[in-house]
Amino acid sequence: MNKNFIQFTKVSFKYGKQSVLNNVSFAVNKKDFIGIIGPNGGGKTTIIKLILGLLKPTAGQIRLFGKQAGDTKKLNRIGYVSQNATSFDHDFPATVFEVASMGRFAKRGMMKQLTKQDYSIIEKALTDVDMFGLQDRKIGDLSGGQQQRVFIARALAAEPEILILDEPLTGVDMESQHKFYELLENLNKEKELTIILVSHDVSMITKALTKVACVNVNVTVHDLSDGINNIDLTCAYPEGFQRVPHHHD
Amino acid sequence: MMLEVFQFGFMQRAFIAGVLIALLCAIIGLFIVLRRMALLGDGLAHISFGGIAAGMLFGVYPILSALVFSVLGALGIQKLKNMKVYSDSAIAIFFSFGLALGIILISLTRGFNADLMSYLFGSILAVNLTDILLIGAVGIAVLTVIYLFYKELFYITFDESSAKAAGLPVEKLDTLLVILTSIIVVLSMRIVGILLVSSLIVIPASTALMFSKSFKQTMVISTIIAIVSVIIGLIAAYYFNLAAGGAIVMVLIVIFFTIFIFKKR
Repeated sequence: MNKNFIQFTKVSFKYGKQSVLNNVSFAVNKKDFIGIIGPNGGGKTTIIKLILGLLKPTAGQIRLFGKQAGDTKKLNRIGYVSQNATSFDHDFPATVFEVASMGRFAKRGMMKQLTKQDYSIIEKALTDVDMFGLQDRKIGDLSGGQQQRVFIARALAAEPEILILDEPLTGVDMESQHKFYELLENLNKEKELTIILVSHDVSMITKALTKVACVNVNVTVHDLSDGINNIDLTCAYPEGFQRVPHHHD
Repeated sequence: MMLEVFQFGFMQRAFIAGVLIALLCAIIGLFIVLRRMALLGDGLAHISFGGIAAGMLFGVYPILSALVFSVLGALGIQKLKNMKVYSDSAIAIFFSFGLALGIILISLTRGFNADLMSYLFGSILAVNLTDILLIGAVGIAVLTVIYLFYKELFYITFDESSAKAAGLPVEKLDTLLVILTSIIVVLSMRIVGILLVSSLIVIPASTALMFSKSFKQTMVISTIIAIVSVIIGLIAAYYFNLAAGGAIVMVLIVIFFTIFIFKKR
């Protein structure tokens, strides 16, 4: 079994003339819990879209599960929560359960009906994010943080091999954030789920991460097995940015 | 007293066709309304008008030629959309094209005739056995396709980009939805008429959305509203000698505004 899930080889990407990623090479292996950090506009979301085949690289090669990225058949092995998941039509008539069930659709396949087994996987996913009690509520009536958890449940319901979360904690309160990191740590350690977590916030780096990728046009990957104290994360800040000591009230 | 309205063969045909059409329009309508394509039905109906006129001029069964026009028009709208023409503009362009073509063909057949009027405004008396068989067979086929692709159509309606990231063929599913709509429009115009077809697609869904909580529940309410309106409309049309299409749409409008006012309080 190949442990190399995602491989970027000398990948470049340009929007028009602007270079977003330049000659990027890195790998994501099975069981990795990788944090992708860097300034806004540095190319983090572009990396995700390239993995999903929603964008094509201008140069270089991307392999996903050993095949060239862009093969839509591989996508049902990925659970993905986009950056703007909660910006849907809030009047849309769909319950929490209906939204989470979408995670099973691609897994079950076109023209097939969901089975009892699918429904129990959906229930489990909602339980994992503490949303099972609200399963019959209309999704648009929930708070931003609750909606975000439902979208994470939708991603988990796909029983993915890779979970990709793009800024998943926007609008989520501190207590839920803490629980959420515990959940991710569990999924990574016990279920051996490979996780890619995108954030512009360096402070989200927890001890649970196994790798950090600093993305700012270039990509530098740091292995965290030796701890996070000695690594250089300055790449994550815009050029000329000075680290200012935090003033705590 | 047994309602005599149910005893006549032509009324029985109208009820069977009407209920099936109501079901189809209400179900497809929920997807169409939520995808902000409410004018699609109207656009396709006007394209079908060109097809009806062509059928009459060349002696082809008009429903069949309308079906061909409508499906081709649907594909044309999709093509323009994919070439970055705004979707409402794409609908407007084909809308005018179908209407213009229809008018030219009618002028060639030397003006309006009663048969054409029955397509424009709908007619219960005009529904014959061929129509019923066609509406029945094609309608059931369309229902089956919607059932098979229900979850995918639901997903792309809720969130296209996530559906795409999950590997679903979003453009193809969107085209499927538009083609199904184009077929339903043609099946419906025999009863409600070209000019009022889109109301049966748009109003039940818009009414049901006022209660919306779950997608399934909204679809069921929308279907019930459509079927009830068609039945009441047809009965009213029979007893008061009204155009069926107009009567059905009036019932839909009354239900919509009654609920709208009630909900506002």
